[in-house]
Amino acid sequence: MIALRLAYRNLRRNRRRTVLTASALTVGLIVLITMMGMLDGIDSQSIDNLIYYDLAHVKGFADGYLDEDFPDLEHTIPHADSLLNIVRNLSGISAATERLEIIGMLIQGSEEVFVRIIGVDPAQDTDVFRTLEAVRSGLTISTDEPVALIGDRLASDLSLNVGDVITLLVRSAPGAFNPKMLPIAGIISTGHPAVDRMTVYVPLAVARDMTLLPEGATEIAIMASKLTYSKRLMDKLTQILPQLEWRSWQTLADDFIQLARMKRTGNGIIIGIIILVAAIGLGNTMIMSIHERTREIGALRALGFNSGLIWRIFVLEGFLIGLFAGIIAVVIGVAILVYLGHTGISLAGYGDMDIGYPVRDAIYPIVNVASVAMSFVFGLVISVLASWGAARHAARGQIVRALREGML
Amino acid sequence: MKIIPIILILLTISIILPCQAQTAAEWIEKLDKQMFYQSAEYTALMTVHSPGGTDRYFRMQGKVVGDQFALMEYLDPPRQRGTRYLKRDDNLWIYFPRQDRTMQIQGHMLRKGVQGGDMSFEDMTESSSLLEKYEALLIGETDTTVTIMLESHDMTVSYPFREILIDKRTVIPIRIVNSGVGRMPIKEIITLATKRFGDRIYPVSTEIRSLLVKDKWTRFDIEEMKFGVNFPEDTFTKKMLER
Repeated sequence: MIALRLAYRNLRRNRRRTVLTASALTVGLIVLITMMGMLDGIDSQSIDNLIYYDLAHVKGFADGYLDEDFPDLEHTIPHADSLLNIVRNLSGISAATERLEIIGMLIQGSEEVFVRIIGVDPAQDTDVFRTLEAVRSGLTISTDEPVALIGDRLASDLSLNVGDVITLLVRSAPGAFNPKMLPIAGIISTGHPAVDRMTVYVPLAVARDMTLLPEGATEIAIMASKLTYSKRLMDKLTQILPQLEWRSWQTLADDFIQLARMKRTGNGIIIGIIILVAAIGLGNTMIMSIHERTREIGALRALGFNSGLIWRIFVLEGFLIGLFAGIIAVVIGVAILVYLGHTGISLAGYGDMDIGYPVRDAIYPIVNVASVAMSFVFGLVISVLASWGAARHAARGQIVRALREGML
Repeated sequence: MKIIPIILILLTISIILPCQAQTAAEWIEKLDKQMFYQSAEYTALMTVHSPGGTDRYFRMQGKVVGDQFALMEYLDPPRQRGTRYLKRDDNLWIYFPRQDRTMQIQGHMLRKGVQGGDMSFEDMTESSSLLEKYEALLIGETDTTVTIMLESHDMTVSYPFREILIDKRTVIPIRIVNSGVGRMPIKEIITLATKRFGDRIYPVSTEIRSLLVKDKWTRFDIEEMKFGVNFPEDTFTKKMLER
């Protein structure tokens, strides 16, 4: 207790130095907390976008479909309706739907672009995905009426509006070209760049007509009752319907997960360097403090303070600086995250550039308690470690030399 | 005096009757025969026109034996120079000299347009006679032309409907309109110029025009052509492709 009191007094005695030392650490920790919040936010947005607009929790594909580079009509699920009925009756499943994806060309005047054309069942798709609910203007797909929904980026790129008629050129499954002219019923804005920039949604019946696959689908998409069930559910599905290849969203989003991990590591290195600089500053301050107080250390030792107590005083000084810096950093960092989480960090400056995450327009950081606590503890550990060496040096000094020469 | 009109009538009948007697299938057979050659060597210029007025030019040299073997090499532009295509039956390989790499074009890649144009690799490798996959129906006839509708129930063909306007005199397709499953026209092929090579007339300038994308076409102009060329045995081999 006396060590804590002395450490606290020492810090109060040199307030300016204490504040300056703590400030460096505070800035480093604020950067760490903010960056962690941004990464947590972007990961959370990405996962939501991937699950609710593209991957669901689990998907089943025809054997061989995943071996191709992009959607291939040679490997489709021929009688998807009957398989879907089996899937729906399984426990642990919240909803299921079928989709038919085709790669084709969207043609408008002198413009032609490659697009993903996804046939959706209007009655079931909204139970699994949020795509049909993301209509920004016009109407969604609610029947088998031949209409199309397109992403807002795609609409903007091709100057398309609700009511315009587009031509979709696809190859049917056997190989014959099958162009279709469809009016745009609505324009969607999901926040998932791949959906908004290059996807056209049509009723499943229209997609089946285009591909000449009257009962076909390229995938069965499933929402588990809980996100954490997806792997367990996948094992069950593999057992019951082995004719399909089942994949969890984590497997399908493996590229994104790897990328997110790499970016986190990359950012961790940058933040680590900032914290290291702050830690060196803290260590340097502690050494300076010990040099200034050599005679005082000698007097304390002469009064009966053992070397362990001296060591504890200086380590506690570092700890208190870390605690002070950590509390300030958490308050400021969380405030920044709450503010940015509300306003968002605009990605407008990036334009159509791929930032590697399935998000667009803005990033909304989140306050992840675990990340904030980890940053706080990290700050404390760094502070203690930075003062450790100096404290050890102070504790090992000789009393007589310290008192007479002012040197340890 | 009466004998002259009778001779005229008989002459007219003798000229008209064989033409009228020709069915759509016979016209297609004649067309196949007219367009088919045992072997040929050519130099051609391909112009790929993109909407907005951009033209890209590709000069090429080709050797062809029937509908089985073909070897084509780009002479221009410099970036493409030396790139070669080898067709053997339904297989197609491309050799890239810069990377010294050969790639077989298969699956969906065959359906991509050559140099982004309207002629696909599949069009390049397609070799069967039209009558093998289509039923022919004569839908129009004038003094100089005949219009045939080709209809296929085999949905593996790229265009299940093809309307061909044939010049009766030369048996050259003046215009071909290729349509998809729902009969929507997708592409038209127009013969812009023909040339006589000995006793045969052959199209030397052809334009493939998209009927879906405005102002997009590919023109194929044959600059030199020789028929009946004997090529060495190893001409159409991968060894020659990668030489």
